[in-house]
Amino acid sequence: MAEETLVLFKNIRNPKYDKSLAAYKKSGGFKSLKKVFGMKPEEVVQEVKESGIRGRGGAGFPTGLKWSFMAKGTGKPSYLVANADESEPGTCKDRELMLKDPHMFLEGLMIGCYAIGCHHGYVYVRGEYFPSIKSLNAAVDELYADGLLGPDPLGSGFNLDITIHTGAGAYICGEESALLDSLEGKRGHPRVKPPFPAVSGFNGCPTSVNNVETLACMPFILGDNGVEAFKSFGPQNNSGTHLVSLSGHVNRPGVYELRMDVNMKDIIYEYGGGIRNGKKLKGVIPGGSSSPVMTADEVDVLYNFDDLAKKGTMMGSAAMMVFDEDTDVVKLLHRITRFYAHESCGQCTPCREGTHWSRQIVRDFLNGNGSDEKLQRLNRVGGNMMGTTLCALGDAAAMPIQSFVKKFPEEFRKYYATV
Amino acid sequence: MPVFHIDGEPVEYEPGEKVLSAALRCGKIIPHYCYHPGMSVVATCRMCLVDVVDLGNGRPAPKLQTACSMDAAEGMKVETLNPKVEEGRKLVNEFLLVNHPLDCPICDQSGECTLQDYAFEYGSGKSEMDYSKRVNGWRDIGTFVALERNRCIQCSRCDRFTREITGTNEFGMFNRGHELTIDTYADRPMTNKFQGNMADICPVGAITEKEFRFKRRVWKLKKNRSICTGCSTGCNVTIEHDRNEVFRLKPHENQNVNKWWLCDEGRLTYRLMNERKTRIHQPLGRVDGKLEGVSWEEAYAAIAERVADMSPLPEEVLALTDTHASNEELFLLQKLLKDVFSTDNTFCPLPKWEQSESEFFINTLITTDKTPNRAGALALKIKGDAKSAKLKKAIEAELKVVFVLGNPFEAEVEVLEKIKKAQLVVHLGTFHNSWSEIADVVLPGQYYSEKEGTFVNKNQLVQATEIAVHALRRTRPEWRILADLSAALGQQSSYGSSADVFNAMTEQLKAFSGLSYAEICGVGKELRQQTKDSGMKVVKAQT
Amino acid sequence: MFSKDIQTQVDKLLSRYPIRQNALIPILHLAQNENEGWLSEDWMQHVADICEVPLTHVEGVVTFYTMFRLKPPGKYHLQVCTCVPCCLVGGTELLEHTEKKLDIHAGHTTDDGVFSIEEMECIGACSFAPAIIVNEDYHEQVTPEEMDKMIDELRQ
Repeated sequence: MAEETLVLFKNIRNPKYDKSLAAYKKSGGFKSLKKVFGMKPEEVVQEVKESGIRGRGGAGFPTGLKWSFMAKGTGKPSYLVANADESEPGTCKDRELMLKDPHMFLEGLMIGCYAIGCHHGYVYVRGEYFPSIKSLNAAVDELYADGLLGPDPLGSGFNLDITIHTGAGAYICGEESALLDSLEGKRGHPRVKPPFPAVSGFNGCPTSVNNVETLACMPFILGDNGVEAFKSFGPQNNSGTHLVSLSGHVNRPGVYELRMDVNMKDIIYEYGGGIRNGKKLKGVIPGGSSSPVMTADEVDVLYNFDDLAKKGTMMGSAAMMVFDEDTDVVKLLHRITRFYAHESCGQCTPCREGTHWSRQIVRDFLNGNGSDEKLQRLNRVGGNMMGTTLCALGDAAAMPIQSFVKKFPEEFRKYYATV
Repeated sequence: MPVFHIDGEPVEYEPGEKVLSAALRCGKIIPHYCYHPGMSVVATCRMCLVDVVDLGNGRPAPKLQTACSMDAAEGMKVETLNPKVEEGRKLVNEFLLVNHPLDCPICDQSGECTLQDYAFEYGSGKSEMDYSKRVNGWRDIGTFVALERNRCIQCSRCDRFTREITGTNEFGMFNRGHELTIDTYADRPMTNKFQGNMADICPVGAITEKEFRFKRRVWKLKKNRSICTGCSTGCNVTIEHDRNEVFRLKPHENQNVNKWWLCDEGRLTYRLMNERKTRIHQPLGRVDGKLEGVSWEEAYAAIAERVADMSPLPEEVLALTDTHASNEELFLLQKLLKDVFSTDNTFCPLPKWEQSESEFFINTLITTDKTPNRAGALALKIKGDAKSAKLKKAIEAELKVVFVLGNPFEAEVEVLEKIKKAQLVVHLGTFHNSWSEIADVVLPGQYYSEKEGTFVNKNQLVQATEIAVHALRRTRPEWRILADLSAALGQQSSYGSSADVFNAMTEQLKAFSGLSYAEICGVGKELRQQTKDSGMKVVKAQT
Repeated sequence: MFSKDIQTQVDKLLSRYPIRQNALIPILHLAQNENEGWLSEDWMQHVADICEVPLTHVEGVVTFYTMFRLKPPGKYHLQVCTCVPCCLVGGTELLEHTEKKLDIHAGHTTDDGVFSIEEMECIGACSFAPAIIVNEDYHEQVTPEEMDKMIDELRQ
């Protein structure tokens, strides 16, 4: 079987690792934090910038740049909020980190807090992740008991607190401004931007929201020679390793830590062991359900942000869903539209009405009432949600609809063509 | 002021102002639903999408932007008339109509409905939706308004209203996505005193006023600007009427008085405008103890004859009025007593009143002084509580002639008993009351919706009513009655209109100097010299 | 209304946020747990008072998030995921199988109050699909047979 490149999963892949603080320290943990406490915060941000790390939550925005946007001199406290809402269908990687090596992630969070001057970091965990919440709470308790959290971690004088906050079941709360509204104790409605969270976020204070995996990379990046090593794992502008959640009709679904220059074909056939039951590949949803679908003959491409973008799709949260020749693509699209209709917050007109209407049209196909005209209408309604909504959920709902119609038109026609 | 461009035309803006706000101020039309100048920006309806071809830095915006949330910037170029924007408006309109019921034939909002107007102007004109629509049903949400949830387009103005404007938090958003509803929860009807405003701000017929439901199509209504006379705030209103019947009052925007709002109590004052049963329809004279209809000439002649017989001394003449009277009426009444009878015994009650203080502006609109012209009476130096020494002394005298304008001292039976003993009581009023029962001559005046008059509100702002409906055939405006009465008693004057009286006031009285009638009829103007009101008490508003 | 131990947790939560309102959702979870898995009007009012927000606000929050329930669930709440990756490997069939076995539809509780079924959107166990959550425990790569076995065991 092909090899993983172990950075984040370094401890997790060790069968003897018991995720305790002692074990984490033994494997080299908190050395980076100690080094960071001896640096200036701006230096930390600069190193992160140079590493080229891009957000692992789906948007792929350069993290160092995001941290450099934090408003300074406002007189208000700064906040770092870890986005552990992980609700993008297909994604199950952050839970691996939180469940099996919470301290690596927490160290990364603490490094981030220092970099942006935040004394109280929050981890927003989706409410359904009961095991992860328990794991994180236990880990945080260990850190307080050890003095790594509290008034004087590692003698730095930089008082630091962490609170684990639970969500209550809403995909939209993965969107950073909706997450902040939810963290503030309100409904999870995305906010009008500007102002951006870096200027006015949690309770109106400068805030940075970062994905769990992104933060978990920080101990490595800020370690010895970390920046160069991190950059070496992938092509230019696509540095580091990343966690790929492989699911669907493969023999070996799972979460794999890979370099950024691995071919998608290899992920499916080498790591995933090929299509199960000896079937043929029909298509792949490459980056969470929000990404445009790819047909079987499009998967000869390197799996990273830019190479996939060039192919007209996106890597997103690196959640690959593979489906075989027997898959009913229209039923699959129906399930996807049902998801977005359920998760739309309902604030803005195109998403509130468009997600539900597009689902009704796809269901019409499944009920045998399809037509060319309705296919055009589906494409149009989906497209009308693109770029007109208040947040990216509209775009996320539009892209699967338009890509499925474009790539698999004959699957729809199967439902109504009499010839 | 810095400038940006909309469709090639320059638009001035204040630093920090949004594109939509600047555009509307300069008379440019950008369609919108959820934006309201008095409430926070949410940018959720997406109707105000515009094409920003230059952000002010030479680069265009990557996609259409909502004008209500976009900060105007120097050098910005916005286009609202190109095909991209047309497509944007068309798709938003289509999405809104997907679940909106075809209620226009039975919906009160028809004719003043933003969705209807925009669908006509910007919509595609055909429906491609052939599935069942979301049904949410009718809700009784308060004493003054009803909610038809099917029609709601989720603009959230009503939700922001009870949170930001009244602070009562009675509305909220519930459920999410397609099921999102905005209303009161469970069956908890609203109790705030400003519910009518929610019907005003609702762009469709989802929230409607119970008083007005199904009564008249709005395109039949004529509209006249006026002021509410329900209390001393004097909120600006439009009187909306058809064939001489008033159907409703709506607030008229005046940032100096009521901003965009009107209280429910004020809206209900429209009922008095239609009241006919208790109105005095014609001049009346007492013959053998009973009041009988007479002509105006007969009435004036009778009064003149009796006054000539009595030749009353100054202390034997008295006038009582109340602060419902306009400035012109008070001025002419005072003048009548001074010029004809050489007395300044004009009194009106000035009870103590309370002005609310609140972090929410709207709560300061309702005062306990339910008359519109207290400050005018103070400016004209007419005063006299029932307990004031001067009034007590005046009514103790052997009164020969008493003029009563309106319905002063309604509850003071002793005053009524004393006045009853006077030899000649003349009542000028609009409604039958205890004074017209004891009067010897009753002269019918006109109600606020039927005459012009100026009033001074609690903040010393002079404002004017406008004639909206035709007055009752045999009534005359009080200013005219007083001028004619003066003439019948020997003092001629040359007033041709209420405006003439006002102009005379500006010439003769320091308090009213420097004001012009045209200015008053616009947004109102403050008195130059302001009188301190010792009867006012500031209290904290109850939430 | 909170028991003594939970009240301590509530107080601790309130101290972790700059504004009381920020602790609303975690406290609502505690309230729901105290009230056997659902939120009554009284509990919502109580939490509203603690967090110093209007009752309407709490009702808006409760109706927004799927984890807050306004009617009691069964003793064992079976949350079956049927979202895209689970759907690809039999999640929908697993749900239908469960519904048939318990003779109720998703969103309902059995008459004896022991089981309730909820159809879930992605619960984040995609590579280990089909996945379900029973109360607070994840069960992954569940076959219909395993589901039957689990239900029978829980019934005891």
